[in-house]
Amino acid sequence: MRPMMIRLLTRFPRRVTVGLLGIVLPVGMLAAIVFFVDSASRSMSQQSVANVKVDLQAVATNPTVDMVALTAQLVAVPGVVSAERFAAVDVDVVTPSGSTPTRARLFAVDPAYVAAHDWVHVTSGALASGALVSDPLASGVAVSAATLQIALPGGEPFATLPVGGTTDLRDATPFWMLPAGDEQGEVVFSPNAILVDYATFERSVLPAIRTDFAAGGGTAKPAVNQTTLPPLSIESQMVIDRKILAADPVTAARNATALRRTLERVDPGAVTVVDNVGEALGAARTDATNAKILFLLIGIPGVLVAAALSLTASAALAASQRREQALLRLRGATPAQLRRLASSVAAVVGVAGSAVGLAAGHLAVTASRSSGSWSGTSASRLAVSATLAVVAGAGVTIAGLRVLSKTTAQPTFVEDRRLFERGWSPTWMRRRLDLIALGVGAVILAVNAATGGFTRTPGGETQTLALGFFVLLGPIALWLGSAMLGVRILHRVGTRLTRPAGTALARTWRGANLRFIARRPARTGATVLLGTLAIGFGVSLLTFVHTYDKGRSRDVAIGLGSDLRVIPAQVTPAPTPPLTGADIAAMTPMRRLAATVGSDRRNVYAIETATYSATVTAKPIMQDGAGVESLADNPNGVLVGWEFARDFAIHTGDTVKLSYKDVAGKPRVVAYTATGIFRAFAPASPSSELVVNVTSLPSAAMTPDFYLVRAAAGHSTAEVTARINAAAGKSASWRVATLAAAFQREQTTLASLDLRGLARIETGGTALVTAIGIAVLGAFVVLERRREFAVLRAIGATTGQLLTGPGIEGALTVIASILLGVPIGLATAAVSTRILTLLFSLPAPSIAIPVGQLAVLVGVTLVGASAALAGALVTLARQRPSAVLREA
Amino acid sequence: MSPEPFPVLSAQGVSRHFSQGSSSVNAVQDVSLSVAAGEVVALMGPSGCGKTTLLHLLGGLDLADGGSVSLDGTNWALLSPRNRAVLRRRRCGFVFQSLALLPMATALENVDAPMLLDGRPRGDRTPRAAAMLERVGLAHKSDQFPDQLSGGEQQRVAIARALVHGPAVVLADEPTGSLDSATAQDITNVLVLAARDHGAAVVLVTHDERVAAHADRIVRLDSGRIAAAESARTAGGR
Repeated sequence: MRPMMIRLLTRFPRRVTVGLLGIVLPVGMLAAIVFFVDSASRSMSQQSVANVKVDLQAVATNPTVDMVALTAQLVAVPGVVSAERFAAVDVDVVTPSGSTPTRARLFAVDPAYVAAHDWVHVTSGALASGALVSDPLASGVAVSAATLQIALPGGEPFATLPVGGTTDLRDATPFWMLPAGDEQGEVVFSPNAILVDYATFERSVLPAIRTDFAAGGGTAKPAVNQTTLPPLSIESQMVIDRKILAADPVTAARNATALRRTLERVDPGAVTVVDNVGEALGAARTDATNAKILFLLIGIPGVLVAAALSLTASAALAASQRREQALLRLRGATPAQLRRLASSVAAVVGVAGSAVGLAAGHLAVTASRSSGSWSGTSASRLAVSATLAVVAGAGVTIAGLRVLSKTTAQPTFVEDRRLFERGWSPTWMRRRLDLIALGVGAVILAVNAATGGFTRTPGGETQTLALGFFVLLGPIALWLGSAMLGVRILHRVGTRLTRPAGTALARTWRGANLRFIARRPARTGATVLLGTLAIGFGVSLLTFVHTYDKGRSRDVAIGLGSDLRVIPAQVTPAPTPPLTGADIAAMTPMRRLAATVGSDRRNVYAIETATYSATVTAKPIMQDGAGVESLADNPNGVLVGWEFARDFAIHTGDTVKLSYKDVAGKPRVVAYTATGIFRAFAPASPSSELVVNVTSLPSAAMTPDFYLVRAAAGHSTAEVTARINAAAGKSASWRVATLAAAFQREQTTLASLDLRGLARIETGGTALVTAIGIAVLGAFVVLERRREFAVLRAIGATTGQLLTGPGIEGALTVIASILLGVPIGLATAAVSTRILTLLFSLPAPSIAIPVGQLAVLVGVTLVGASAALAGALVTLARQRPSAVLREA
Repeated sequence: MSPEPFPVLSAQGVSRHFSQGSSSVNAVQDVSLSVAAGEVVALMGPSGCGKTTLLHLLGGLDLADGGSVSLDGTNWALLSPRNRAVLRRRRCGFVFQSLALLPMATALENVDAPMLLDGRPRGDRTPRAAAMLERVGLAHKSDQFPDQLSGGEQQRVAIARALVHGPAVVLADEPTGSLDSATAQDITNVLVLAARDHGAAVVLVTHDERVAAHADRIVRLDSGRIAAAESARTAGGR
């Protein structure tokens, strides 16, 4: 048996190669997807904590805790990289005039903290020289030139602090303030802030607090789980070694929890540890699960097509093995022996194909992702993925064996009859599976629409995304159904046009061949179906990924508003950044102020309509009514955010009364008319629910909070940024935020999935599937129609005439696959984009067609298919008719 | 003594061998044969004696290793593959034992195939193909596909296709091999009579003596060589 098996494997290299490819392709594609998921999950853990600046906070439970000793103990715990002392306390700043004290927040850190963290901006002076005061406080009446007096708790004497300069702490909000209120993300922010050296705090402020605490004073102790900013927080802020976090977010969250418990045991009862990393990983855990579902559903159609192709190849192999099987039977081989022989050959091909497929999958992922994409991925996880791919390979091998045994068990006349068979009626066509799949897809979409799956819920930016598995089956069902329906229609049209009663003799040999193909469409139809599915899948994936990338860029662009954002320091007089020049195309000042609607406090953007439209790079997305131009036409118009409009039942044309506080603090009510409802308005970060014309404000002279700047054509944002920064010099009168930095900051777990790598892998797979599909079609043509071609030779067909039919058949297959596959792919991408709207912060964009990438896909498919077709035609041309005719 | 008719088909000292691994099989050895226009020659002999190989050499489907084969005085071996195909479609007609029709073409389209390959205009081809089908008694089945025809009807279509373009010679390889005896006689009659109508020579490979009896001459092959050549009458008298 073994010599016979070796002979079969070595004497028919082409046949073995086709069999091998039939296994390599599905195993390789599945392996690439699951390996990609492993690799992406690994980076997902890291990605989710990338923006966490303070990993853990050990918050003292009372002011008597010795933070110097405690911080030294904390930093000694394995896994903790650094621990920095931090304190925050509410104080009253005593004014020189002796009038009502001004409430301020006093922060204390070591000087090294200021140097190490970019969220503390020293706008003038230095911490070593004394207290740094926030610009609003410095601009107020509370601070004299050289010193600052604060009232200490417990009626202690005033503490006098030397003033060392000014600071801008607006970027420190996420790290220094605590969440408060019902809405997640809402924070208490005190514009009046004082930053002192921690040693100064210990020396001048802490003793009074401890005394007050000992006397049972009002300085509250707990610092966590409050809805308002605690009066006092003394803590140690820690950064951990991220390498201790497992690749998988679920395990990584457990790692973080374990570390938190270890830290709390350092001095039991003295501190409560706030686990910011664990919180981020908790959200990533759900995202990781969703990402796996998403990746698999994006990739699995490609595997299915590859597996279908494998079975088609098995059928071709079975046909080609009939002769040897018959010969072996004549020589006395029993059916059981033949089955064992076929199983042995299939097993060898299956094992080799699975090994090559695994290697190909590994290589594909390594090539598509950045270097080191495997580091941190556990061996056990990779083993599970590899096993999954090999099991799939075994499944395909067994299915192929079934095809083989079924075909070889048929008597010869069945094959002969098949050669004469005209028409085509596969199972899916008879059972109307195309219409059933379309119906299933439509029902899934309808259910999803009815349950609000196509719309984001309020607070969508921060909610945990929930992708229903069944919902993602919708596009797959539509993709399958429409491909089959397209092939059915082509088949029906072809059959109708080539009915013998309705046609005269063909005018040309080419015309006759077209007619012949339509009358014998089984192989062509099956290959067109495979090609359509493969190309439809490739187009859908490329388009979805392109749309996803565009949407993500748009989300960030609309968040920042324009190319640059220039943020002036909050000092008096307000600095004027140099925002004119040939390198700037347009700029607009943005003012963000608070207003009261009824009893609710809301944020309002006041814009200069003339310059706004020329500056923003992302136009507002309107849900109803008019856009910014309506504010120019009607200075008392207001644009309302859709969620706010829904909550307050505001419609276009309604009156909206906003109450502002003027300079003297007195409320001034302005009546507006809602001229439009927007879904998104740039800049979306920070967001505002209302947008008005600046001319409508009671105090029009209000200083801009920041400026949006659009770089002129031919000038890079980096170039403009450098010029504006250079103009600021060391004064730190303004800062510049760029789109690139914003994009980097917005990278979070599910929204930052690297779909492009997967798209590259699947695109290559698509081209291969189509090319191999054509190769298998060619193999069928050569195998099944060899006698027919010999007869054509006998009646005088030249090589060119002989190859006309198969050439047209191959070309038609590719063209039909492209013509059907491209629109089906685009439609599938459109549906997928709507379904996966949760991936986008803003309403899902309509699809963006990557023309260049699609052209490459079509081009690669054409080249691959042409090469495969050329191979089949060469084999056909070399066939000796006399040898074939003698076989009968 | 009448002058020897000009041979339309001539084989002079033809040999053909095939390699099978390290050994070589001499399928045809030093065979010389001439077939005159309108003559019907039957090639007979045991299985594997080289009948089909010789038929393929005569029709230019295969080239001899030694000797020469000429059709209308043109040596097959001296032609390019393309010109061989052109000569074959204009001057030869083939009839095979089975599966000889194009399965996706109707009877009429099958008969039309050689003329279509030759690039003749449709207006010329249509009446000729229809007439030829009528000549073999299948005018009423011109729209039928091969799988809708009986074995005998399929061979009639093959004969019509072999003769429709007015060939100099019809080469038939066991045309009645898969037919019952009555049908075999009928088909042989159709072939011989139609060929004679068109003035075409016929070379007929057969095992069946009754089929061979329709021939003017019987050539018997054995182990790739001509064992005997005799007139059908002589053979029938044995």
